Amino acid sequence: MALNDTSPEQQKLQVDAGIENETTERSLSHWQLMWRRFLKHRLAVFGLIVIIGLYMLAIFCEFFAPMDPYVRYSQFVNAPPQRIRFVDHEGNFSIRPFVYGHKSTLDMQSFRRVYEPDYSKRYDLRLFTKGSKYKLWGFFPGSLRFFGVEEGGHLFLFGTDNLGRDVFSRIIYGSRISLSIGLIGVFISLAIGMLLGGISGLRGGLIDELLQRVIELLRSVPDIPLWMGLSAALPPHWSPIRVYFGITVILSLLGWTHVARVVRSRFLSLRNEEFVLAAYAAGASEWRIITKHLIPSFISYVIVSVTLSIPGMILGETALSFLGIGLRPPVISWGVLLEQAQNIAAVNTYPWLLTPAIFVILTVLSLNFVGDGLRDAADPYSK
Amino acid sequence: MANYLTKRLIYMLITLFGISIISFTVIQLPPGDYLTSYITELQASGTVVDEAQIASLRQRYGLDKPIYVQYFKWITGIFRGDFGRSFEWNESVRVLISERLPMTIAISLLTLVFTYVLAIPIGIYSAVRQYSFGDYLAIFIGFIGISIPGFLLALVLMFAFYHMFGISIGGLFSAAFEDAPWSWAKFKDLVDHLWVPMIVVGMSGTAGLIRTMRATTLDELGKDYVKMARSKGLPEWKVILKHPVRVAINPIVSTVGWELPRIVSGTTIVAVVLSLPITGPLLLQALLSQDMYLAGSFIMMLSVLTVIGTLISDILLAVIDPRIRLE
Amino acid sequence: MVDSVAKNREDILLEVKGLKTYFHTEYGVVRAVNGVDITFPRGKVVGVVGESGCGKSVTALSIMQLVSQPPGKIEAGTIMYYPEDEAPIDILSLNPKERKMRELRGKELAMIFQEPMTSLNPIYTVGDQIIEKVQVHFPMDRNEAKEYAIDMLNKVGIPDPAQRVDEYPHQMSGGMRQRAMIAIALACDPRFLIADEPTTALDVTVQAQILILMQDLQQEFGTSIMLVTHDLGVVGEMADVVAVMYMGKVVEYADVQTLFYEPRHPYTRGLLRSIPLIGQSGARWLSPIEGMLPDPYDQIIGCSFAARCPHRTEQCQHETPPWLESEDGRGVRCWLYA
Repeated sequence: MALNDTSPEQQKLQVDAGIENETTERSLSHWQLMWRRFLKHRLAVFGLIVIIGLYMLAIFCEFFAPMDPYVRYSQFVNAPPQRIRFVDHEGNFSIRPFVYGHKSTLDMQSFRRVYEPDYSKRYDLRLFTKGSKYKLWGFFPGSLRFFGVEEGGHLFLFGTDNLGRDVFSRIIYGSRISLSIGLIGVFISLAIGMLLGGISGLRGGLIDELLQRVIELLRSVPDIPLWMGLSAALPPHWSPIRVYFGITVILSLLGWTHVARVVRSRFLSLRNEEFVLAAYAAGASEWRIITKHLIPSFISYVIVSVTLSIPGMILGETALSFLGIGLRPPVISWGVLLEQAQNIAAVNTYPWLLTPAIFVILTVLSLNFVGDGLRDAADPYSK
Repeated sequence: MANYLTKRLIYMLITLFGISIISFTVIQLPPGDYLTSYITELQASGTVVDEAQIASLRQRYGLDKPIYVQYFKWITGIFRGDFGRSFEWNESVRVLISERLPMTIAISLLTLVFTYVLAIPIGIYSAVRQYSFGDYLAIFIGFIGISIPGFLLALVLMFAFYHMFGISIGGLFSAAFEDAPWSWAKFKDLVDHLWVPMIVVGMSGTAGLIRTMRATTLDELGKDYVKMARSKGLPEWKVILKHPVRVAINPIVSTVGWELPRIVSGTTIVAVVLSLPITGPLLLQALLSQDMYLAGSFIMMLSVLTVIGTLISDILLAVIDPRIRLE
Repeated sequence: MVDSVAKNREDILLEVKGLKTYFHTEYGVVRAVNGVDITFPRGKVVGVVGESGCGKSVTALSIMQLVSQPPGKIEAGTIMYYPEDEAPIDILSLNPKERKMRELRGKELAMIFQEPMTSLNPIYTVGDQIIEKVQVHFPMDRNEAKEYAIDMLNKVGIPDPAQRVDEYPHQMSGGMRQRAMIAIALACDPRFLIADEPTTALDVTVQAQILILMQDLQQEFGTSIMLVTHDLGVVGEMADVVAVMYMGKVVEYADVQTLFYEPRHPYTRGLLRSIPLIGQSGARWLSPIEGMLPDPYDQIIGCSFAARCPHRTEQCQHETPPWLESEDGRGVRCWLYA
């Protein structure tokens, strides 16, 4: 390569006063700027609101679910969703929404239960109602629910499954597992990725070469078959909580490579940046340079990369559980719920079994919006 | 170029070695070994197994040796075409793989082509007409595409077709052709079925590629050489296609190798939902019944497939990019 | 003394009048070029000087109709081009993407860009990038065009042109790349060549070579050159006429001798004082121009240089100074001479 690729600035009769296009953005910090640019991205803001909402559901699922997700209403097996009504069957309007209870008859031809609204059983929907007892996070007993019907009534917003359990409440409980697995998996990936990527980018040489090969190897293995292989090997006698962490680790096993790549390439390009050289020249210690100069300058890229890899984790869990080799009942996750939808004949008769899919897609879509908005906000020049 | 390719080849060999270790690990992970499963299987079918027979089998498979010897026996066996036995099918793994793998490759490649043929023009259009209605539409479809996982899309499509038209869109052949020998009519039947997996698996890849193509083209559009090309008096379409698009295609081609694992992954699970007679359902079944030689070999062959794909994309990149070719 | 400045209509090749090119960004409107008038005499080199952001490059791109829109937009003005034996054309009346404009571009008007590395497409050989242009304007087949390309590379002083024609930009040194770019620009014999900071990205020694090359070629082809630069040394070396720009306007226009020895506008004087001169006694210190460039998003009332001008008066801060042209063709935009 030519020596004169760079332009020597000395000895030049320069008129250049060297102004930069600093305007109103002058006085704001990096994070404030990023946040301002993020807010301009409407879809991303929308996504963020949805995501916050979904995580609230997940954290307080006992409070938000109107029914107990484990209780089997054996007289209401495979019942369709109840309609929320404001007008009763005689045409009277009511400001308070309500549902009619189900009554079932057995269809003698298909031997299936057929459900009809039972106009004699009217259950009013109420906010902050008292429902069946639960233990918040497994510790704090309570019975207050965000909304629901009075005790004795039943509310199946998304119908029931083949054991007569409320699908809506199961989806809300499932969000706790499905959403947290993505988050925990991402934190594991982040830790491994930052550490290995950082060492590799800083030290270079043999370690870097080795890590590059490992990343290349892991990226060329198709993730789903490998995940399948590893999670099928989790011992069947493991407790649900161990399986949960096992799956998380399996998902992070491939996930860290993205973070590592971002961190490594940032370190490599920053290592020779002038402000880093200046810090070295000023006698700053390496640790100080890394923590004070390097990490702040690329942390936004890492956040973007992490946000964009959460959907992959969530989908990984969903896919594995859907196939029956991830989490298993009685654990409730969106993938476990979707396993029932594997049988297309069942889905055709009971289409509400597909409702967990709406939540999966909504989550992934919103996370992608947020990640995209963050990416644009972190680096306005890398459109 | 020779240097570059030698380097890529060496990397490929290292990767292949790594893949074989990963696959072997998957085989070894479940408790017990191949033989315990085999014996259980034999006993279940009522065969009486005597101790001497077990010992000889144990020796034959090297199960009494340390793990690295077992690995060595296994890997050298593969070079001779011996992938081990599937106790569930009572068939050599090689036979099972060679029944399923060609169709997996065919579907993956078709999906790959479909993805690129669709994504590149849309990406270019989106970049050149940035912020137009068509661009927003492409961005929106792109978001939807990457957010709906293939297996859910397959599920929804299956349901929709079954519900509305009462037809099943699963499988690769109609019942009439399932076991028929190859003929023109069977081929046509295959084509009729193939579009579903192609769209379902290709959807997310296409969406991702549109985004990449759009972004890289936008990047290139702003560069000085585009102004330079315009300053020569070239017609606008020629400026766009010969200059920024031609440069933007390079990184897209170089990611063919990364696209392939995604597609193979996608086909695996979509094949389960659509019950396609390819590797996916068989792999799942093998895993569920702990038929580990079969499962491990599948994982290995699918990975090898993608590694070869990566190598091809590296070669392609060297051919079309002089900066790499002349390195 | 001012014989370089065009006095007759026949001597003018290109005339920019009242050109306004604005950029509509999300933070506001940048009036990059805000009423520029420059006359380019036939066969002369016109140096356009000013600080970064003064609008000199945007003026150049406007002449080629290469301003990226959006965000850029040419709001007003005329750019008259006077071909030798055809009717004059107002370039701005042409659609930038249509045939007529494309025929002008490359064939009549050509441009050399600042960065040879980024202005040459990395994936085509230098030869391809010349051939591509030649084949648009001349009815040549590929072999003839390649011969032509080799000939052009030879003319710009690239050794072994028959081999170099098949090389890629990354295989060449910065100086060679800039020569190749000049070869592309001069292919098809354009009448008007815009050189936008042609030597800024190069080593000092290579800079001199490129300047000499451009001078020789200008003499050989009789091309008129618009030399955009912030380097007054280059202007002194190359230009016949100089236009000094400040904040999107031309503040002084004169032939090079007059400008260097009798600068009128306080800004021009300030510029000249900030150049070190070899052989001058220590009695004169280098003096930078006081103050900073105003914010490009602000709309300035009065003279845009007033805030930094040592001679400013009340009037300067409220009224925009008029363009004052003297008999001999030189002009200045300053209340001092009103």
